[in-house]
Amino acid sequence: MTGKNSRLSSWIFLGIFLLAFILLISNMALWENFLGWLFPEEREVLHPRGTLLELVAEHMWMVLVSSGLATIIGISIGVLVTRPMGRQYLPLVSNLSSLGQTFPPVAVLALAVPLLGFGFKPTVAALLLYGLLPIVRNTIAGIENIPPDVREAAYGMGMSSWQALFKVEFPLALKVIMSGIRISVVINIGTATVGATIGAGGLGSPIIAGLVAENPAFVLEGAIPAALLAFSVDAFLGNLEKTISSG
Amino acid sequence: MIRFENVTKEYDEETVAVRDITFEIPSRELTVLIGPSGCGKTTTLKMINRIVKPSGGRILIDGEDVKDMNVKSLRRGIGYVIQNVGLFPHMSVKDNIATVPKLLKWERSKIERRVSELLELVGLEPKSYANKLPKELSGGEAQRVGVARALAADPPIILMDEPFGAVDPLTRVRLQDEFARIQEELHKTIVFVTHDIDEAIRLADRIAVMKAGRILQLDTPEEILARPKEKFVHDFIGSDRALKRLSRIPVMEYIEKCETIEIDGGWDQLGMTKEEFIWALDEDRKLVGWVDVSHSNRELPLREALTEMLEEEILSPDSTVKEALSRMLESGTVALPVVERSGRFLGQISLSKIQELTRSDREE
Repeated sequence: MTGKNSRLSSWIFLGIFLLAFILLISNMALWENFLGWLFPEEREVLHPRGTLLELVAEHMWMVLVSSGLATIIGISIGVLVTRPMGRQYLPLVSNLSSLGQTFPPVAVLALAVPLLGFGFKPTVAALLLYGLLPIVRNTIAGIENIPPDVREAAYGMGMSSWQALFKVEFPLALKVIMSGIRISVVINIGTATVGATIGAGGLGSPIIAGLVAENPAFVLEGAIPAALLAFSVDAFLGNLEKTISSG
Repeated sequence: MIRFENVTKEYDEETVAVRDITFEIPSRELTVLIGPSGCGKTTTLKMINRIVKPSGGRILIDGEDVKDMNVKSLRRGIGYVIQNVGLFPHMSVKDNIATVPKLLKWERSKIERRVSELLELVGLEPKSYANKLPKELSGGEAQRVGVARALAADPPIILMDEPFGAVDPLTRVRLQDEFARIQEELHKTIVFVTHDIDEAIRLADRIAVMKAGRILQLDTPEEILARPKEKFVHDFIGSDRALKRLSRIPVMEYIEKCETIEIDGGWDQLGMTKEEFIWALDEDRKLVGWVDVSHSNRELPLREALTEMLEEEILSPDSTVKEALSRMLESGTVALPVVERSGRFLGQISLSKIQELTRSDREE
């Protein structure tokens, strides 16, 4: 009972936090006053590209598309290499996914531009590749860590490979897979700011503009909402994980 | 009937788990595969439901080669209880038991009924256990659910790999007794792997003693205990072979008729008895105690000479001779009464009779 209560209260807390976040980013006058007070010497304290609400929406859309695709593709890859038919690729895939994490996101972006040009598409592609890795890795770990006797029971009672996957392996690995998705999404919220360097928009735009024009107000205008966004999405997915895993 | 024909399993040239075994497992009986670890008993078991693929030979179930059967339907038709139970941790007890019925697409109401029936069979109250998760069960309860899950679709064959291995000795004996009762009722073809000789003797209709991938002896427990074929079998059974044999014999086989006295009657019932003591019954032939014949004052009423019995000094018809012997040694007596559950006196079992019969067995 205490478990249920604490879960409920963490959802309520999260709801209040999100509401505060939305109110905060939709009130541009507040930001203008706050940043103007912090940096009185700057002539301009708000990036002219758009309101924060628009920037956050652009940012979220990039993350949503890339993480959504990364989740679907990542889980599929993780599942395939743990099937008898795909098992020969398991070492290759798990090595690649650990290796891939060591690549800096800017390098991935730089490689994506010649292939996909500037803007939304190459950014989403880079985020997708980058976000794939924790999901693949956790899917493999989650499935491989299921006790062998549980798997033997599943097959021994006459489940097919797919029945064992959907009825036994996937539900048991779900918690670990979920935390892979959470890591991936949170990384992507941060990494997506780099997309502004190739014109993808989002919360990276004020940050990059601020860095170029040496205007710290712009940098904060992008960085604070990006950090808060990462926080709240992390908390949301963390809550979801707990709710699912405790049934 | 399950028949092994020249079955071999080699993992590579060095590791041979099973060497060219040919034997039969009769239907509706419990056959125990026993031996030290690494003797190939579990491999032998797992080749039946094709968890392990034999390298040579064939395994026939009622004349059909398992290799030619659809692997899924083969396995759905064979109950499987594995070591460490292997319950699905994310599913309730009910869903665990319902696994195979669901795979077989039974109707929901039929599954519900079957689950309650099975929980009752294994001695778990359906209302309080159906919705529990495996982590909320004790070791013994989890093993019971494992057995219920294997029985769910009423398969004719059940494979059990050290099913009671992971519980404390006390719980294990209780589970064995309950399982023996279930088998008495259901008469499944059971292949049971264990390394515990007492467990084998308690449960088996037939025992196959294995060593290094071969079956050394396949016989009834009585036969194996009486005539172990090789030194290894002899040693494996242990030095208390005679006692183990007695544990297979119900007291009813050694029971003797004997003189009794009606407690509310008079001393004159005795006549010229040579017994030193005599069992005393009431008018419904229920045991009330015993009377010392030689040292009692016959002037007093019979009731005055009565000694009542302690509960542990009375045997029930399903006790074994080993139990009888143990209780005699404990209470320092040379004979004990056997009494039905209703209290009705059946007869006695005496130390001299046990000695006489074990002696004649040896001389055979």
